[in-house]
Amino acid sequence: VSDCAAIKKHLAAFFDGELEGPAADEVAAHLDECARCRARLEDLESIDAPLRAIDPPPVAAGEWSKCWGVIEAAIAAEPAESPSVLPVSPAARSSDQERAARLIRWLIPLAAAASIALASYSAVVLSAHESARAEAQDREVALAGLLPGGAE
Amino acid sequence: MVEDEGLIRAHRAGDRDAFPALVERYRDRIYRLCYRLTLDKEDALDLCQLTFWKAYRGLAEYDRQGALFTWLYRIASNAAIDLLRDRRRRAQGLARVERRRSAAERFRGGRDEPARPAGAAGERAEDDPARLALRKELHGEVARAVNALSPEHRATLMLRAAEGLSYREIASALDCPVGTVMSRLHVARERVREALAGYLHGYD
Repeated sequence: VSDCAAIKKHLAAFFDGELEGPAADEVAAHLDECARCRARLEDLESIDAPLRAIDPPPVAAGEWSKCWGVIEAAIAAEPAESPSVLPVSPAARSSDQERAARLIRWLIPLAAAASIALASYSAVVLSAHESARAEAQDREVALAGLLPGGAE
Repeated sequence: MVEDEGLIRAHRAGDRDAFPALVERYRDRIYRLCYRLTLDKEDALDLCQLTFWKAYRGLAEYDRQGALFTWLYRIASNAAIDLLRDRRRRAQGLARVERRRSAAERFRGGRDEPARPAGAAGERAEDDPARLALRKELHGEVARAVNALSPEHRATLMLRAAEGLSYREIASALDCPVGTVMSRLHVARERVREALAGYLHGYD
């Protein structure tokens, strides 16, 4: 019978389904006889099970439409040229307008040069906001980190 | 149903319906992944948009081996890691604490939804107040532990434990060697295990 120390090294791979052939057979045989290693395996399941159970909140059809609308607008504005500077204000805005503006901001480093179409779209999106929310500002600061990402 | 490859070819040939069809096909999976990585619906939707926008721009040149969803996972995971990394760097003070607490609360609260059908025995177990309380407690601890992980460890753990990707697929998505996936997984699980010390069998 294999010793626990040797089996322990392969237990995670076995648990993850990454172990095959004789190595997997050896771990399985050891588990049949070793309650301690079976407990270790159960611990791995206790760690992973709550993560598998995370389900996102539902997204309403209208939310998907808005989401796609922003992508579509960006695609439609996909330019040979786009603006080097957009009139983006850090002021807070309503959620879908905020999202549209954010995506446009993400697109800045992806664009090669100026685009009147994109600027017009951003101006429309950004012109309607009056009320400020501190949360929105925080999110803008955080999301600004995506700017240098560029295309994959 | 048209296969991914067919839709990609159609997109390259200028078919304007092809890309929306791909979005429709993968948006739920990408949204779920992004939510699991951020535990925040708005962040997840933002990342979905960014992922599909980057996919749109990159699809013309897409020629990678392997499934399209792995490529999309790669874009989404990296965008989420960037977001989380930046947030870790920038977020300070009470706002950060509150945000994490609310994310953990949502996570715990989400488990109370009677979303999953269960057999009679399962329903009894679900209804057992002691079990329910323990489960909520456990999930809360896991959420806190996951939130404390580095973005890279968190993404690796979620891609494996929650999304079920193989080590090789995770390596491809995160652009790192399989050995790095294994070591990150080990570290991430150890951190979670430490957080759950009182709930597990306790064998190291």
